[in-house]
Amino acid sequence: MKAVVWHAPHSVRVERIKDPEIVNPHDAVVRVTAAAICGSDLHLYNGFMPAMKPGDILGHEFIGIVEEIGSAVRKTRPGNRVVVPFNIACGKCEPCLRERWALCDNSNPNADMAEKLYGYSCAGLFGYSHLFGGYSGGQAEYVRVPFADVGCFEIPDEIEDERALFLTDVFPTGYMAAENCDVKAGDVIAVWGCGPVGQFAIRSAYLLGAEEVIAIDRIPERLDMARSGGARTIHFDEVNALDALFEMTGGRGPDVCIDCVGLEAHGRAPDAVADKIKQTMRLELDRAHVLRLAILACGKGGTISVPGVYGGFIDKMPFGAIFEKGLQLRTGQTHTHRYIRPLMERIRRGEIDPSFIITHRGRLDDAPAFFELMARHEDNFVKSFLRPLPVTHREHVFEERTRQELTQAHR
Amino acid sequence: MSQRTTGFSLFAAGAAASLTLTYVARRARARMRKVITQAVTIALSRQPVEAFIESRDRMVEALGSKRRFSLIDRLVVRDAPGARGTEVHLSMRGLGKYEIKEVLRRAKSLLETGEVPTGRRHAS
Repeated sequence: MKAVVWHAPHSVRVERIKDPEIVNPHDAVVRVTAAAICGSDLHLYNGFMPAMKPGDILGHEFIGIVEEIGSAVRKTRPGNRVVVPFNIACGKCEPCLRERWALCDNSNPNADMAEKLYGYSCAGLFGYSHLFGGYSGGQAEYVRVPFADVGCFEIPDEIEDERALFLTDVFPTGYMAAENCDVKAGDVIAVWGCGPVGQFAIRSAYLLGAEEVIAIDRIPERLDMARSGGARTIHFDEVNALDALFEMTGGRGPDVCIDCVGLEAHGRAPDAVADKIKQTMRLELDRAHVLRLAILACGKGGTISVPGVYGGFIDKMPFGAIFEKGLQLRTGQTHTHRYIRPLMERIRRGEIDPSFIITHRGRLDDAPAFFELMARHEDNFVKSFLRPLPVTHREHVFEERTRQELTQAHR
Repeated sequence: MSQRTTGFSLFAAGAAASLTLTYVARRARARMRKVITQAVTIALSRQPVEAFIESRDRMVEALGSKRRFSLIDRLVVRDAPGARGTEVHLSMRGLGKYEIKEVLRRAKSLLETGEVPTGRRHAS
């Protein structure tokens, strides 16, 4: 099969490798019909996540058709069209039973590595370094899915691939970021980063009843997309984001600040420059400029929600501001399994069409070029939609029919 | 003069080697004597956990080898608070903290899911 293989920072290639097999009794092998490149894949591409090895297959956003199942798989059947969450959960341990799927005790075979860094290990992730299990990712023609009965969600026929794909990660991640804010009527929410997670956080905040969302970025096309989602915007290269937020909220500050940027924040402030130097010298893993800004900007008694990925230790953290303003910090990998069915239902009801996020379409062979475009923020890149294998005639006819029906329904 | 230097060098090298070997042997003996305890909570009642411990085959699967049976110093099973399942406290000698954690993790995975997770793509 073909797969997107990581070799070194800034070096990913599409290569032919051996197809995956059933290894454990609860496994399935899924033929990938659509995949995407996530913003967090850039942390691997840019070499900021530890424990990547040459030959690792990337990708944690994919959907497909079940080809083969292991002897202990009961619910998932070959032929099922499924969406697979980016984190792997066993469904049997205490965190899974409490629906904290991203904290699964059993799915990370390299838990000792994560324990040394974080104290305890979180769940294994597809295509996201050996720190999270060394699982092969879904930017490939086929992928092995462990605990298939827990990690394969059947997609209803009326939802085509383009609307289903983003249930794997970015839509639930944006939604959980907004849900973590406990949005109340009248709340003003500031969202840093208008990439895919930021766009879904904006729309999710409105779905959950936010009064107003203010989006902060520096890429005009992403700010346009945020405005089309109903947000007011701040271009942080043109104005001081803290001053602008203070003024836009009548001096109260936002009730909630969402950091959708994570460990590769840009900025020209002294702390951002110091972070950049330290990260380049491998003295620090995370550039946390946005997190510091969000903490300083947040109004008294507010909430900081962090869906952006952080991996290590952060210095210059204004913890005094968290303490003195009585802020709450809500964060963590998304409990994707918890959100897929309710969000699929919202998509089915037409409350949201996640395909608005797609800016680039291509085959698997286009992935290296897309990585480069994403890393350089060129060509208005927001989100890719990759077809690893040519779709069957039946799937093509189905998609065309659904698209036409949707167009008619919108009219 | 040259012979004396060579002799001294050989003596020094021999002394260093014997000191190193003594140090390594002492460390190994100390490690064999040292008992380390680690614990895990399994989201099951005590009955299946105790049945697992009593089954030699299943324990070997968790321990990784039959030889490790002799390294077990103490194994305590008790109910976890808040109906969270069963705590297993395992004390072993001759193994490091992370090796014992790995044994417990394998046991937990086998008990809770029936398999040991792996990132491998191929069966062999």
